[in-house]
Amino acid sequence: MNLWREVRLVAAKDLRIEARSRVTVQQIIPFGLIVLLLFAFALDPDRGILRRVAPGLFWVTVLLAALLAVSRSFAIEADNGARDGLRLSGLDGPALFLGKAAAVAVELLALEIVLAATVVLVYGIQLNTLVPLVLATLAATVGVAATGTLYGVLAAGLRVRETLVPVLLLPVVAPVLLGATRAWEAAIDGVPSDAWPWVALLAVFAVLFTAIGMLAFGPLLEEA
Amino acid sequence: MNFAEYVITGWVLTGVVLGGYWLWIVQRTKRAERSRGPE
Amino acid sequence: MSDRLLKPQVSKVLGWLALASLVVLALFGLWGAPPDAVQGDAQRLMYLHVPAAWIAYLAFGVTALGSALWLWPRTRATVWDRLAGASAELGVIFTALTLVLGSLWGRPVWGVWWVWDARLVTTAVLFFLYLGYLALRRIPSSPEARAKRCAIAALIAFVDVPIVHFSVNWWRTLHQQGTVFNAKLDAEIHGVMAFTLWFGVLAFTVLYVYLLDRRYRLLALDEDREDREVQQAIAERVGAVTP
Repeated sequence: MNLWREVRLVAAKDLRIEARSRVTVQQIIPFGLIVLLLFAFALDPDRGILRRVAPGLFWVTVLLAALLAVSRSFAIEADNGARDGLRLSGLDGPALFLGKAAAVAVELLALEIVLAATVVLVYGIQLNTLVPLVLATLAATVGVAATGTLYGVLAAGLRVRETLVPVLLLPVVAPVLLGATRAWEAAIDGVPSDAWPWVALLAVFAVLFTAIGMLAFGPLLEEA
Repeated sequence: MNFAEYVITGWVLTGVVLGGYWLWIVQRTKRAERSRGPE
Repeated sequence: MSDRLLKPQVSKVLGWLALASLVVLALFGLWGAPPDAVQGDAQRLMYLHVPAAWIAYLAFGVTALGSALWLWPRTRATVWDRLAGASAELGVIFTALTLVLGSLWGRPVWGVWWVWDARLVTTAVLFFLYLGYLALRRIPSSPEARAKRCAIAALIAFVDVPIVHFSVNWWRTLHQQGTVFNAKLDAEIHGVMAFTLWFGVLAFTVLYVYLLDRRYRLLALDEDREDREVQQAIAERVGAVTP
């Protein structure tokens, strides 16, 4: 089987499980919305502040939700020897990685669409220039999904997985938060062309960590 | 706090941290060697 | 044998050398070097802050190097995993020291305890990367599994640090505020002050190598003892099962 078929196989498996269990739709997306709501409570209800910091709040919320999505991605492998199943499946490390990361990315994108709509409506911002915004979002999502999946498999067999992955993942994806927020700010409030350098940074991050993930997933799965 | 107090605090803190760490290593090493016993 | 990095005599000499050079550094740093024209005596903290930062990053490099050497099948050996672990602990201490000294230096000079400068922010991220690595190391596993996990985590972090630095630097230069603070951080120094600074870097490096060896030895002792305890537990289990 070639790489892409294997990737589609793994991604489809994860997304099928999601479609049946609806964890993303019923738990992770609500979590994201609640966090946005809490931010609105925490910050001055004065629309001015929320509007200015909306991009940052959006991306922080996405990162926190990503922790849940990654945790879920590996929780589904924890029961019934599913991880052994993965190992014995004959599927390549890179394919497994890309498949799982792709599934996480899809879930995050669904979350982001919902959150973006909310931010636009509730925080009162306008999404002017869509192209750099969408590209930045795609690149950031891929970067977070890849890095998250990488740390997810690293911590897969560990009992402390749920408290460990955040500590490991969040510092590493700090540049994504930085770049995505700046790109959104440029696209929404500033000069849209300012977003492009950040889009480039996000793209580099995404490519780099996807590559690392493809290399490391197999070896890490062996030890999980 | 004037400048000198910041400076002294910094130097003393550094000494305490590094010296304390060294001491910790030495003590733990002695303990570990003792528990290893005669070889 | 993978139980130490330096020969005992070398370690002893290095230890005394470290102590002596730190004393000399203190003499120069606190007394021999003149106060700075702009910063006054606060400058004297730089003689610790900069060397500490240097070691923070050096130790990180050593951890990454050890991790890489362990991961590479042809060079895989316990010594590299232990080196990475020992260096990481030293690294987190020096990173914390760098941040605290930076604050103590910044407060009298700039009036604030913290600035969002690329170097400081990257060092803060480095601190958290170290903490994550050390948390990983504490998780009990087979030595092979733990070493592999930690090695990969260390290399991921190593790759990430330049990205963090670059992105934060870019961000701060876009904000223009960076230039005022950068001017003071990069203040040109000459003569005795420059000598003291470089001597500080040297003294800290000697101290680092000495402590690295000592920490390595302790790590080796602890891991060997854990091994023995596991073997013993297995032997007892086997003995209990087979009558």
